[in-house]
Amino acid sequence: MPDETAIKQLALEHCWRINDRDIAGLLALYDPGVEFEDPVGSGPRRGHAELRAHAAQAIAAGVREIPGTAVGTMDARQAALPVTGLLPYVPGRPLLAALGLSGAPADRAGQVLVVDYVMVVAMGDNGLIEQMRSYWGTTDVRLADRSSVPREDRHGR
Amino acid sequence: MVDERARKELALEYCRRMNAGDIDGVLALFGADIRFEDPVGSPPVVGHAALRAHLMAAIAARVREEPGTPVAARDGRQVVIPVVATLDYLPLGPTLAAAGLVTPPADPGATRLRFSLLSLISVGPDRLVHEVRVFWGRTDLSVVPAP
Repeated sequence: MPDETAIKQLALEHCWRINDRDIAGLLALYDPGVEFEDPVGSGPRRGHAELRAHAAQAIAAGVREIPGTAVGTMDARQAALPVTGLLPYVPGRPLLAALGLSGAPADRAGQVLVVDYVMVVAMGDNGLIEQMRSYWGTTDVRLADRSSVPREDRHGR
Repeated sequence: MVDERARKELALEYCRRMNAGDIDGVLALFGADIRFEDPVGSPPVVGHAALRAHLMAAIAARVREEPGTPVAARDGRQVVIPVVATLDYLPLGPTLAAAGLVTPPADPGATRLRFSLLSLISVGPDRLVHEVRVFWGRTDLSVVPAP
Protein backbone atom coordinates (compact mmCIF):
# COMPACT_ATOMS: atom_id res chain seq x y z
CA MET A 1 0.00 0.00 0.00
CA PRO A 2 1.65 3.28 -1.08
CA ASP A 3 2.18 5.80 1.68
CA GLU A 4 1.17 9.40 0.98
CA THR A 5 3.74 10.76 3.41
CA ALA A 6 6.50 8.75 1.71
CA ILE A 7 6.05 10.42 -1.66
CA LYS A 8 5.88 13.84 0.00
CA GLN A 9 9.09 13.05 1.84
CA LEU A 10 10.81 12.11 -1.42
CA ALA A 11 9.98 15.51 -2.87
CA LEU A 12 11.28 17.30 0.23
CA GLU A 13 14.44 15.18 0.26
CA HIS A 14 15.09 16.28 -3.31
CA CYS A 15 15.38 19.87 -2.10
CA TRP A 16 17.45 19.06 0.96
CA ARG A 17 19.94 16.94 -0.96
CA ILE A 18 20.33 19.67 -3.56
CA ASN A 19 21.05 22.07 -0.71
CA ASP A 20 23.56 19.58 0.73
CA ARG A 21 25.21 19.38 -2.72
CA ASP A 22 24.72 15.63 -2.38
CA ILE A 23 24.30 14.42 -5.96
CA ALA A 24 24.73 10.74 -5.07
CA GLY A 25 22.09 11.11 -2.38
CA LEU A 26 19.82 12.91 -4.82
CA LEU A 27 20.13 10.15 -7.43
CA ALA A 28 19.36 7.57 -4.75
CA LEU A 29 15.84 9.05 -4.58
CA TYR A 30 15.25 8.34 -8.27
CA ASP A 31 14.57 5.20 -10.26
CA PRO A 32 17.41 4.56 -12.75
CA GLY A 33 14.89 4.94 -15.58
CA VAL A 34 13.44 8.20 -14.28
CA GLU A 35 11.85 10.56 -16.78
CA PHE A 36 12.17 14.22 -15.87
CA GLU A 37 11.40 17.57 -17.46
CA ASP A 38 12.72 20.82 -16.02
CA PRO A 39 11.09 23.11 -16.95
CA VAL A 40 7.97 21.57 -18.42
CA GLY A 41 8.04 22.51 -22.08
CA SER A 42 11.79 21.97 -22.48
CA GLY A 43 11.36 18.30 -23.39
CA PRO A 44 11.69 15.19 -21.25
CA ARG A 45 15.01 13.58 -20.37
CA ARG A 46 15.62 10.16 -18.99
CA GLY A 47 17.93 8.29 -16.65
CA HIS A 48 20.42 8.89 -13.87
CA ALA A 49 23.20 10.18 -16.11
CA GLU A 50 21.01 12.94 -17.51
CA LEU A 51 19.67 13.78 -14.07
CA ARG A 52 23.18 13.88 -12.63
CA ALA A 53 24.27 16.35 -15.28
CA HIS A 54 21.19 18.50 -14.71
CA ALA A 55 21.57 18.54 -10.94
CA ALA A 56 25.31 19.17 -11.12
CA GLN A 57 24.66 22.23 -13.27
CA ALA A 58 22.18 23.62 -10.74
CA ILE A 59 24.48 22.91 -7.79
CA ALA A 60 27.43 24.48 -9.58
CA ALA A 61 25.30 27.58 -10.11
CA GLY A 62 24.86 27.77 -6.33
CA VAL A 63 21.17 26.97 -6.14
CA ARG A 64 19.43 26.73 -2.76
CA GLU A 65 15.90 25.37 -2.57
CA ILE A 66 13.26 26.35 -0.03
CA PRO A 67 10.35 23.92 -0.13
CA GLY A 68 6.80 24.92 0.73
CA THR A 69 3.98 22.58 1.70
CA ALA A 70 3.74 19.34 -0.26
CA VAL A 71 0.36 17.90 -1.21
CA GLY A 72 -0.40 14.33 -2.20
CA THR A 73 -3.00 12.41 -4.15
CA MET A 74 -5.61 9.81 -3.29
CA ASP A 75 -3.59 7.06 -4.98
CA ALA A 76 -0.57 8.06 -2.84
CA ARG A 77 1.58 7.77 -5.96
CA GLN A 78 2.13 11.45 -6.68
CA ALA A 79 2.97 14.64 -4.84
CA ALA A 80 3.28 18.29 -5.75
CA LEU A 81 5.61 20.66 -3.95
CA PRO A 82 5.93 24.44 -4.38
CA VAL A 83 9.58 25.48 -4.13
CA THR A 84 11.44 28.77 -4.08
CA GLY A 85 14.83 28.38 -5.71
CA LEU A 86 17.53 30.95 -4.98
CA LEU A 87 20.60 31.54 -7.12
CA PRO A 88 23.48 33.98 -6.74
CA TYR A 89 23.15 36.73 -9.32
CA VAL A 90 26.21 36.96 -11.52
CA PRO A 91 25.74 39.47 -14.36
CA GLY A 92 26.44 38.13 -17.82
CA ARG A 93 26.46 34.46 -16.96
CA PRO A 94 24.94 32.20 -19.63
CA LEU A 95 22.47 30.90 -17.09
CA LEU A 96 20.59 34.19 -17.24
CA ALA A 97 19.59 33.64 -20.85
CA ALA A 98 18.32 30.16 -19.98
CA LEU A 99 16.22 31.70 -17.23
CA GLY A 100 14.82 34.32 -19.56
CA LEU A 101 16.80 37.17 -17.98
CA SER A 102 19.31 37.82 -20.74
CA GLY A 103 18.53 41.53 -20.57
CA ALA A 104 19.16 41.83 -16.84
CA PRO A 105 21.34 44.76 -15.84
CA ALA A 106 24.95 44.35 -14.79
CA ASP A 107 24.85 46.47 -11.64
CA ARG A 108 22.69 44.42 -9.31
CA ALA A 109 25.06 43.88 -6.40
CA GLY A 110 23.44 42.27 -3.39
CA GLN A 111 20.68 40.68 -5.44
CA VAL A 112 19.69 37.08 -5.95
CA LEU A 113 17.76 35.27 -8.63
CA VAL A 114 14.49 33.85 -7.37
CA VAL A 115 12.74 31.06 -9.26
CA ASP A 116 9.28 30.03 -8.06
CA TYR A 117 8.40 26.57 -9.28
CA VAL A 118 6.25 23.55 -8.53
CA MET A 119 7.75 20.07 -8.64
CA VAL A 120 5.40 17.18 -9.37
CA VAL A 121 6.77 13.70 -8.70
CA ALA A 122 5.40 10.20 -9.22
CA MET A 123 6.61 7.22 -7.22
CA GLY A 124 7.01 3.69 -8.54
CA ASP A 125 6.47 0.37 -6.80
CA ASN A 126 10.09 0.39 -5.60
CA GLY A 127 9.48 3.58 -3.61
CA LEU A 128 11.65 5.69 -5.90
CA ILE A 129 10.73 8.66 -8.06
CA GLU A 130 10.03 7.48 -11.58
CA GLN A 131 8.80 10.79 -12.99
CA MET A 132 9.55 14.40 -12.09
CA ARG A 133 8.18 17.52 -13.71
CA SER A 134 9.21 21.02 -12.74
CA TYR A 135 6.78 23.81 -13.63
CA TRP A 136 8.17 27.31 -14.06
CA GLY A 137 8.15 29.90 -16.79
CA THR A 138 9.96 33.09 -17.62
CA THR A 139 7.48 35.04 -15.49
CA ASP A 140 8.48 32.97 -12.45
CA VAL A 141 12.06 34.24 -12.41
CA ARG A 142 12.91 37.56 -10.80
CA LEU A 143 15.67 39.48 -9.15
CA ALA A 144 15.27 40.28 -5.47
CA ASP A 145 17.29 41.88 -2.70
CA ARG A 146 19.23 39.24 -0.83
CA SER A 147 17.82 40.62 2.42
CA SER A 148 14.23 40.11 1.26
CA VAL A 149 14.37 36.36 0.69
CA PRO A 150 14.39 33.59 3.31
CA ARG A 151 17.85 32.63 4.55
CA GLU A 152 16.96 29.28 6.05
CA ASP A 153 15.48 26.29 4.33
CA ARG A 154 13.21 23.86 6.15
CA HIS A 155 15.90 21.30 6.56
CA GLY A 156 14.19 19.78 9.58
CA ARG A 157 17.17 17.70 10.60
CA MET B 1 -0.19 29.10 -27.12
CA VAL B 2 -1.43 31.29 -24.30
CA ASP B 3 1.08 33.59 -22.64
CA GLU B 4 2.11 32.91 -19.08
CA ARG B 5 0.47 35.93 -17.50
CA ALA B 6 -2.88 35.18 -19.14
CA ARG B 7 -2.74 31.61 -17.84
CA LYS B 8 -1.95 32.79 -14.32
CA GLU B 9 -4.74 35.34 -14.44
CA LEU B 10 -7.16 32.64 -15.55
CA ALA B 11 -6.22 30.50 -12.53
CA LEU B 12 -6.69 33.42 -10.16
CA GLU B 13 -9.97 34.41 -11.81
CA TYR B 14 -11.29 30.92 -11.19
CA CYS B 15 -10.67 31.40 -7.45
CA ARG B 16 -12.31 34.84 -7.47
CA ARG B 17 -15.45 33.56 -9.21
CA MET B 18 -15.70 30.55 -6.91
CA ASN B 19 -15.47 32.86 -3.92
CA ALA B 20 -18.20 35.03 -5.43
CA GLY B 21 -20.44 32.00 -5.89
CA ASP B 22 -20.66 32.85 -9.59
CA ILE B 23 -21.14 29.38 -11.05
CA ASP B 24 -22.02 30.65 -14.53
CA GLY B 25 -18.94 32.83 -14.48
CA VAL B 26 -16.83 29.90 -13.36
CA LEU B 27 -18.16 27.62 -16.10
CA ALA B 28 -17.48 30.32 -18.69
CA LEU B 29 -13.78 29.74 -18.01
CA PHE B 30 -14.00 26.10 -19.10
CA GLY B 31 -14.25 24.40 -22.47
CA ALA B 32 -17.25 22.16 -23.12
CA ASP B 33 -14.94 19.12 -22.98
CA ILE B 34 -13.53 19.99 -19.55
CA ARG B 35 -11.99 17.07 -17.67
CA PHE B 36 -11.80 17.89 -13.96
CA GLU B 37 -10.02 15.35 -11.75
CA ASP B 38 -10.61 16.28 -8.10
CA PRO B 39 -8.67 14.80 -6.41
CA VAL B 40 -6.06 13.18 -8.64
CA GLY B 41 -6.70 9.45 -8.46
CA SER B 42 -10.49 9.74 -8.49
CA PRO B 43 -12.80 9.41 -11.51
CA PRO B 44 -12.78 12.72 -13.43
CA VAL B 45 -15.79 14.97 -13.84
CA VAL B 46 -16.31 15.57 -17.57
CA GLY B 47 -18.32 18.31 -19.27
CA HIS B 48 -20.09 21.45 -18.12
CA ALA B 49 -23.19 19.83 -16.61
CA ALA B 50 -21.21 17.46 -14.41
CA LEU B 51 -18.77 20.19 -13.45
CA ARG B 52 -21.61 22.51 -12.51
CA ALA B 53 -22.94 19.92 -10.07
CA HIS B 54 -19.46 19.27 -8.68
CA LEU B 55 -18.64 22.92 -8.09
CA MET B 56 -22.10 23.88 -6.85
CA ALA B 57 -21.61 21.45 -3.98
CA ALA B 58 -18.60 23.51 -2.91
CA ILE B 59 -20.32 26.85 -3.49
CA ALA B 60 -23.35 25.71 -1.49
CA ALA B 61 -20.96 24.94 1.36
CA ARG B 62 -19.62 28.54 1.17
CA VAL B 63 -16.25 27.60 -0.25
CA ARG B 64 -13.43 30.09 0.21
CA GLU B 65 -10.38 29.65 -2.02
CA GLU B 66 -7.17 31.39 -0.95
CA PRO B 67 -4.72 31.20 -3.84
CA GLY B 68 -0.97 31.15 -3.45
CA THR B 69 1.49 32.18 -6.16
CA PRO B 70 0.69 30.58 -9.54
CA VAL B 71 3.56 29.36 -11.72
CA ALA B 72 3.55 28.64 -15.43
CA ALA B 73 5.11 26.06 -17.71
CA ARG B 74 7.11 26.75 -20.85
CA ASP B 75 4.75 24.74 -22.99
CA GLY B 76 2.34 27.60 -23.67
CA ARG B 77 -0.42 25.57 -22.10
CA GLN B 78 -0.18 24.80 -18.39
CA VAL B 79 -0.33 26.73 -15.12
CA VAL B 80 -0.11 25.49 -11.54
CA ILE B 81 -1.65 27.21 -8.54
CA PRO B 82 -1.55 26.27 -4.85
CA VAL B 83 -4.79 26.95 -2.99
CA VAL B 84 -6.06 26.60 0.55
CA ALA B 85 -9.78 25.94 0.27
CA THR B 86 -12.17 25.94 3.21
CA LEU B 87 -15.85 25.12 3.19
CA ASP B 88 -18.56 24.26 5.68
CA TYR B 89 -18.32 20.75 7.09
CA LEU B 90 -21.95 20.20 6.17
CA PRO B 91 -23.17 18.76 3.92
CA LEU B 92 -20.03 17.14 2.43
CA GLY B 93 -18.19 16.24 5.63
CA PRO B 94 -20.12 13.10 6.63
CA THR B 95 -19.36 11.51 3.25
CA LEU B 96 -15.66 12.21 3.74
CA ALA B 97 -15.86 10.91 7.30
CA ALA B 98 -17.57 7.72 6.11
CA ALA B 99 -14.65 7.21 3.73
CA GLY B 100 -12.25 7.57 6.64
CA LEU B 101 -10.78 10.81 5.36
CA VAL B 102 -11.68 12.96 8.38
CA THR B 103 -12.74 12.40 11.95
CA PRO B 104 -16.33 13.56 12.52
CA PRO B 105 -16.32 16.71 14.65
CA ALA B 106 -18.36 17.07 17.81
CA ASP B 107 -20.20 20.07 16.40
CA PRO B 108 -20.51 19.66 12.61
CA GLY B 109 -22.39 22.94 12.29
CA ALA B 110 -19.52 24.92 13.73
CA THR B 111 -16.66 23.46 11.73
CA ARG B 112 -15.17 23.78 8.27
CA LEU B 113 -13.22 21.45 6.03
CA ARG B 114 -9.77 22.68 5.06
CA PHE B 115 -8.06 21.41 1.91
CA SER B 116 -4.45 22.21 1.10
CA LEU B 117 -4.40 21.59 -2.63
CA LEU B 118 -2.60 22.37 -5.83
CA SER B 119 -4.34 22.62 -9.20
CA LEU B 120 -2.57 21.73 -12.45
CA ILE B 121 -4.52 23.51 -15.17
CA SER B 122 -4.30 23.10 -18.95
CA VAL B 123 -5.41 26.03 -21.11
CA GLY B 124 -6.25 25.70 -24.79
CA PRO B 125 -5.56 28.15 -27.63
CA ASP B 126 -9.15 29.32 -27.13
CA ARG B 127 -8.03 30.58 -23.68
CA LEU B 128 -10.42 28.19 -21.99
CA VAL B 129 -9.53 25.57 -19.41
CA HIS B 130 -9.74 22.04 -20.79
CA GLU B 131 -8.23 20.01 -17.99
CA VAL B 132 -7.77 20.44 -14.24
CA ARG B 133 -5.97 17.96 -12.02
CA VAL B 134 -6.38 18.80 -8.33
CA PHE B 135 -3.67 17.38 -6.09
CA TRP B 136 -4.74 16.62 -2.54
CA GLY B 137 -4.68 13.49 -0.46
CA ARG B 138 -5.98 12.35 2.88
CA THR B 139 -3.07 14.04 4.66
CA ASP B 140 -4.03 17.40 3.11
CA LEU B 141 -7.54 17.50 4.52
CA SER B 142 -8.47 18.60 8.02
CA VAL B 143 -11.41 19.82 10.07
CA VAL B 144 -11.05 23.30 11.51
CA PRO B 145 -13.28 25.52 13.66
CA ALA B 146 -15.53 27.91 11.74
CA PRO B 147 -14.34 31.49 12.19
